[in-house]
Formats: sequence, C-alpha cells, structure tokens
Amino acid sequence: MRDLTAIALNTAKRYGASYTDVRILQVTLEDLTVRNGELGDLRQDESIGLGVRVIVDGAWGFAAGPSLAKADIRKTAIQACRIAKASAKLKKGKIRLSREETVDTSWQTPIVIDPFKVPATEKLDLLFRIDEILRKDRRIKVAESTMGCARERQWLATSEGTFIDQTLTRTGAGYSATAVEGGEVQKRSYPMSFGGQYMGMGYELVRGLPLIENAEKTREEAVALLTARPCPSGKKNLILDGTQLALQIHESMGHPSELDRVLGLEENYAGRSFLTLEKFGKFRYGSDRVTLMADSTVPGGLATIGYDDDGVRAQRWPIVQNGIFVGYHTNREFAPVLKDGGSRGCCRADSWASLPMIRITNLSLMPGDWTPEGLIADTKGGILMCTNKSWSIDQMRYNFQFGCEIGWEIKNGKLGAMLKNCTYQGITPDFWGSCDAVCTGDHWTLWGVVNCGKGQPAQTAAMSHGAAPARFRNVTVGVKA
Amino acid sequence: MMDETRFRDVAEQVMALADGTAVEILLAEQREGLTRFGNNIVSQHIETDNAELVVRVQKGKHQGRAGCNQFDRATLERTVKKAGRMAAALPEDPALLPLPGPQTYQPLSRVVPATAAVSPDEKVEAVRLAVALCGKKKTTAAGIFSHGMQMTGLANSNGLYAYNAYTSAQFSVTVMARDSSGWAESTHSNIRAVHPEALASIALKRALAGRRPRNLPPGEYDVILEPAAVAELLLFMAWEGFGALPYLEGRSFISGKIGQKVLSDKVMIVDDVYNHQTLGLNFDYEGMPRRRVVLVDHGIAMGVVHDRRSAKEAETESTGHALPQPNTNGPMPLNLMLAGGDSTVEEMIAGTRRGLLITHFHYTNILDPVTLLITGMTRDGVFLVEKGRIRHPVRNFRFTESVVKAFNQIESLGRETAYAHAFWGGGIGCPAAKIRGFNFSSGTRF
Repeated sequence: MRDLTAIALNTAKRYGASYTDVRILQVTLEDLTVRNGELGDLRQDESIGLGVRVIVDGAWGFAAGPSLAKADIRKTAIQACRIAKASAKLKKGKIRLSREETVDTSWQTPIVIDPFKVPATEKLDLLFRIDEILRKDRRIKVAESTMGCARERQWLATSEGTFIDQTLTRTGAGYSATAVEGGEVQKRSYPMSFGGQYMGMGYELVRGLPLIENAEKTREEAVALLTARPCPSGKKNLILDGTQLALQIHESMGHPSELDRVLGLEENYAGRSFLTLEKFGKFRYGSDRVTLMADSTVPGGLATIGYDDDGVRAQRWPIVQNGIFVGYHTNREFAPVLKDGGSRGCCRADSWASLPMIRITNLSLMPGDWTPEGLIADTKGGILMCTNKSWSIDQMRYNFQFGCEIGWEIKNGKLGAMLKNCTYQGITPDFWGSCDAVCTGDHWTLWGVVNCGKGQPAQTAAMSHGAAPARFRNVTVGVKA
Repeated sequence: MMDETRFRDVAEQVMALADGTAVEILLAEQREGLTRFGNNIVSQHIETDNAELVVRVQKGKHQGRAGCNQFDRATLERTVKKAGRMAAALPEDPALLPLPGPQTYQPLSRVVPATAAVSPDEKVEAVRLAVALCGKKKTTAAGIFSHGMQMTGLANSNGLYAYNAYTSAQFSVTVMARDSSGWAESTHSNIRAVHPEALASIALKRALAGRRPRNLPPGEYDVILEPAAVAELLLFMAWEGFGALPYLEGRSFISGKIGQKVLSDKVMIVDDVYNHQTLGLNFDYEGMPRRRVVLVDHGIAMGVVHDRRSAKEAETESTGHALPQPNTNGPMPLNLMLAGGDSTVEEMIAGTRRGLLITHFHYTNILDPVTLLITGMTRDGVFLVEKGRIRHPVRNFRFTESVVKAFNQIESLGRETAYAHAFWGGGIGCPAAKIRGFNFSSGTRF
C-alpha cells in the first residue's frame, strides 16, 4: 500500500500540491438483526477505495474513487489538484496546517476475540434466544435484536512523510421490545437504545453483556409502560442514568465544542455553537461538579484511535474543568486559531470517499462521589429517567429536549411509580449548572454512540461517552404538547 | 457519464457464478461533486465516485447477502460464495418469498447530462457570485452547491431486469447577519433550474429582515409554514405512518382507520415518483414497479405502501415500495407529495390576525408514533404576523406538537408546491401551509 500511496503523493506534487494526504481504506462489516422471529437484516459487506486530499494555491481539493489501479490513482490525485485550483478562486487566505510530528507507525484496536471469526450461526442463535424471550407477551408487537461488527484498516500517507497503518475494530449488540395496545406504543431497550452497546472491542464485549439475563425485565417494562402514569409536568429534580447522560453529553457538550462549528463552517446543516472563541478558558459551562474529559486513548472507546486522519496522535484533554469551559475539539486546519496551536487529533472521515473533518471524540463526564442508592435517598422529590428515546437541540446548542423510554417518581428518597412518556427540556449552561451530584467510578460506563451525523454530504461517526448517574436540580420535565 | 454497461456486465458474471442458484443482483453507482462554502469562501470541495454491489442468494426458504465495491472476477466470486455460505448456514425464513419474475415499468427519465457534467470551476464561479451578494451587505454565507448522478440496476435469476438513473443538483445557502440568519434551498434534476444567486438573494433578504429579533412567550400560535417546514412534518408521517409495517403492527396513526377521516379535508397525500418535482426510481428494491399510491384523500386514510412480504400478509399487492432486502423497516414511501391548495404565502399573511411565519425547522424528532408527536426548533427566520402584516422578527422557538393534530387544523395550503428536504433528508413535494393553534413549548437565546 505504501507504493500505491506514493503514486498519489508524487502525482499531486507534480500538479502543484503543497500538501497531500492519501487514505486507502478497507472496510469489512457484518450486521445481523432478528425481528419477530425472522431474519430482519443480514449484511456481510466489504469495500475499499482511496481518497486524496490536497492543498494547491492555498486551498483544499479532495477526490476519491474505488479503483486502486495505478492509472486511476494518478487520475484521482490530478482531479483533487484540479478541484483545489478551482477552490483557490474563492479564498481569503492560504490554508495553514498546525505543525505536528511526522510518524511511520502502525496501531490497532486491542481485541481478545475477533468478531469476524465467530460464526454467524452462533451470533444468530443468541439473537433468536433473546427474541423468543421478548415475544413471550402478546402485547409485544415488535421484538428486535441486533449484533454488528466492523473493521477498518487504513493506510494514511502524507507529503510530510507520515505513514500510518491503522486497524480499528468495533463490536456491539442490543435489543428492544415494543409493546402496543389500545393506541398506546411503548418501547424498552437493552443495554441502551438505537441498537445497543457498541465499543472498540472484539466479541468479548458481547460475551460479557448480560443480554439473556435482562430480556425478561426489558419485555415486562415495555408492557408495564402501557398502563404507567404519564410523566408529570413542571420543575423537578432529575436523576439521569448513564445511557441518557451519554447523549446529553454528546449533544450539549460534544457538538458545541467542535471548532469548525464555532467558526461557522457547519452553519448550513448541523449549525453553529454558543461556545464562541472569547469564552475559551473562562465561560462557566456547568457547576463545580462538572468535569468533562475528551479522550481518544481510553480503552474500548468507539473513537479510540492511534492517530486521526490528519496523522495526529490520540490525546486526552479537558473540555470542561470544574464547570469552566477550557477545550475544543480541533484538527490541523483550525487548531492554529487557538493560542496553543496544536491539533487535538479529532479529524476523522467515515469512509475513503469522505473528506476528514472535526468529529467529537470519546467525551466523558468524570465520576463524582455518590452511589445511585445514596443519590435517590438524598432526593426528597424528583424523577429518575433512563434510556434515550428522542433528542433535539437548536443549531447553537442552547435549547435541548430529550425523551426517555422510562422513568420513576422519587418521593422522600425512595423510588415510586413507573412513568411513561418522560421528557425534559433545558438550556445547556443552565442545565449543567444545576448538576449537584455525580455517582462514582463504580457506576461509570463508557456508552457508544454509533449514529452521529455531521457534514455535507452527511457523514456518520461513532464515539463513546462515559457517565455515571447524575442529578440536576429544578429541571423542566413533562413538556406539554 | 455513467451508463448501463457495467451493470449488465456484473449481472451476467454474478448470474454465471451463482450457477443456477436463485440470485438477486443490486448495483448502485453514484458520482457526486460538492462545493461547500462558509464565511464567504470555499471551505470544502470534493468529487467522488463509487459503486456498491449487493448479491442476495436464495436457497429455498434460506437467504444470504453479501456486498462489495470491486468488480474483478475474484471479488465477485468471493461475494457470491459468501452469500451462498450464509444462505446455507442461516436459519430458514418461513416468510421468504421466491424472487419475482420479469416486470414492466412505466418509463421515467430524469437524467440531465448538463447536471452530471458541471465542472468544479463552474460551481465555484456560481458560489462566488452568490456570496458576493452577501458580502456586499456585510453578511456571511455558508452552504453547498452539489451535483451528481445515481444509477441503480436490479436483476435476478428469475428473469427480472430493472435499470434506472437520475441526476440531481442542489444549492443550499444560509446567510448570517449579527443576530439573525436566512435560508433558501433548491433541488432539481436539471442544474440549469437551480439558481444560486436568486437563492442567495432570498436567504439574504430573510437574514436582513430577521435582524434585532424580539422575544415572544411560548404558547399556541397560528403559523404560516414555508414548504420546507411542512416537509419536516410530512417526513415523520412517511416514516411512522404510511409504511405497511407500522400499519399492520398497530403503531401507525392510521392503523385500523383506512376509510376514516383522519386529517383535514384539505389534505391530499400521494406517493408518486412520477411527479415531475420529485427524484427517484421507477422500481423498488425487489424490482417491482413503483406505483403511484393515494395515501390520504380529502383527509380520509386510503392506504399504505407495500412490499411483497407486507402485501402477502395484508392480502393485497405490492405497491413497489420495498427497501433493500431483507429490511427491518418494511416498505417506505420515498416520494411523498402533499397536494397544493388555493392560497399563497402573501394571502396567508394577509388573512392572519396574529401568528408566526416560519422558514423551516431544525433537528426535529419523534416523541410518540401514534399521535406523531414531534419536537424541533425553528430556524433561519421567524416573524410575527399581526393584522395581516409582518410586524417584526422574533427569536427562535421549540415546538412540541402532534402532526396529526396540526394536519387537522390546516386553514389553507399554498397553490404552488416545492420539492423540499427535511433536516433528516427525504425529499417531499409540498406547499406552504397555514395551521391554527400550533404549540411552541419553549424559547431559546437567539
């Protein structure tokens, strides 16, 4: 592959590129879904292709194609240069990348059991067993259990001399039961919604998840929700479980700290950010108890890498330290806007055909010193909400509204009635400012988000968010329609 | 310019490699160019091409599926064998249907060579002219100018052969002033029908009109929704309501209500790929001819879309709306059209005592599938209308509202329809709409 990347690098140089990177990416994936006792989805796909990104006359160009024939690689590189020359006709200054060390290395996700070597029949046997348990109540109209794994091997070469051979593996599984009766539809998922728990691990993740053990409880909760009380409306103390907090972190802290959004470059689709440059290092984002760490090195994270698509080494750094906003997600293109100037290594593309851009990495709420039992016992009145059901946030990332699959009333320090149709709404800094308790590391889990959309054309990225249950005071719940 | 040659060649090879086993070949090929701009300069600029092959093998009631994007003999052989091995190893699917035979398709041609052929220089020049308008008014523009061609071929060992292609071009622009923004977008198979400068001018006008927005309390307001905002509501109707699977499972707002009045009698919704405003294929992903389906007629629920599996369960015929097989979502309407009415946005404004004019919505999501309760934010222009006139811009709101309720409270629909995209995508033909008593649940800080 080194020879093939060299063809693109040399061609681009001849056509005027002052900088070039070439990514050859080979993707293998498998997805299996059992739905209501039948095979709902089965995919075993492979793809390979090459993307060439260049700077010519101070502007970007990118071209990509599936062919690795030498003549086609040259054509792709020439096309990238042609595109960059066109881009240069509408620029203000020249693109200047942050200075980073060059490397010649390899990296791979540590795995114990290769998920591609586990027979599909074994995987399906597990999914069918779950499916059978989920459908033991006639009110469960949809039972869906899913398992998937993906492997991406990428060879990245840059005109500065970097060459990285990196292999990322991710695996996951989960299920949901949807109960329907009398015009009411309620759903429960395990371990989390939208496909389950995914991590940068091998099949050992699936073997370690108590999937069978929780299927009956999942089914019974879905059915019980049909007749549960609706979430009350008003201002309440709110305890969120880790799976819901993962998405809260993602939407209200991950995206607003992406520097390209801050600079207005995502405005036409995903939007901008309220975390503008003058807030860097001084804005109170949350209470003293709120510390959020970005970490591309944490074991098991979906965004855990050796190097990003700029060839920058994986890092760990604070985004919020004791409530103060102190860090952005950056890449080589935009990092120089900040004083320290070095990239945080957040530049990722979702395929060989996609342009790398700033993506949220693994971003986690650091543990506190409470136990879940202690937290509930300490709450005179409130609601515990678990498992994300829906999400929405404005384009500046201020006003959010989340729905959760299930909730429980908290009265005088004890869990009470089950609640359905749970929603809560807030303004990001006010909400995080109301956080007064976070549970300990014993209750902290790294939860995977596999469907993060951004960019035009739209790209999908995966990352993880670690969280333990946490409490927020006087939150608007039970949003009225 | 792509043509049918590769599909024919690959289909013949795969058929030969399958050696008499029932096999389906789906090849999707696309070429795309996209010029992205922000802060009045080109920020990203790409051209890509790819082709993805999916081979589905059926052995009795067993099936296997494998995909690849290389078409050399060795890769094709590996892919066919992989699908065959899966079919042999995986459990039986009792509901699996035999592959369909040859079908007849209604002609549909949406390929415009000029759209496929536009160069990077031409796109940059168009963007330059568009953002120049914004720069003159001390505003900044962000957006895209994209063009591409999609080709889809589907064949099977039972003699079915389908091939169709279309081109598409899109210009989308958001113009930002200090405390406001405006937006405009247009998508068409013919790039000459997309006018970047005119769209930038509309977005600029909205951004300038939106300066110094005032606070209004959340609550119920009559609303005038521009077509893109209407498309946002319809997308959830398509996803959650008009597919056979949610209908048969009792999760759709029209489950058990076919023939009953479910929406305002002003509402006529069809799925129609043959409408000149939409883009798509004249067959589905089983190779069945895509039919025009009336879903709601004068507010009465008329039906849902089917694939062959759901049609068998419902004892009816496929409407040609299958997604790639197998699929957990069931059939889906991909070319929804809400028929226009007899009004215009200007007339809607003139007839409004107090209400809000909404440009479009952002990051909308579903809370309840049966009532189609959804929530989302307004974006890029909200204006208070009083006594028949636009009074002033207002800050953005979050809405939390049932689409079923909203579509029962339609006062009027625009005469003209536009092909608009929702935040999550899609592509829906719809007019502007005036709706009474639309619920805004909270405000935000801009």
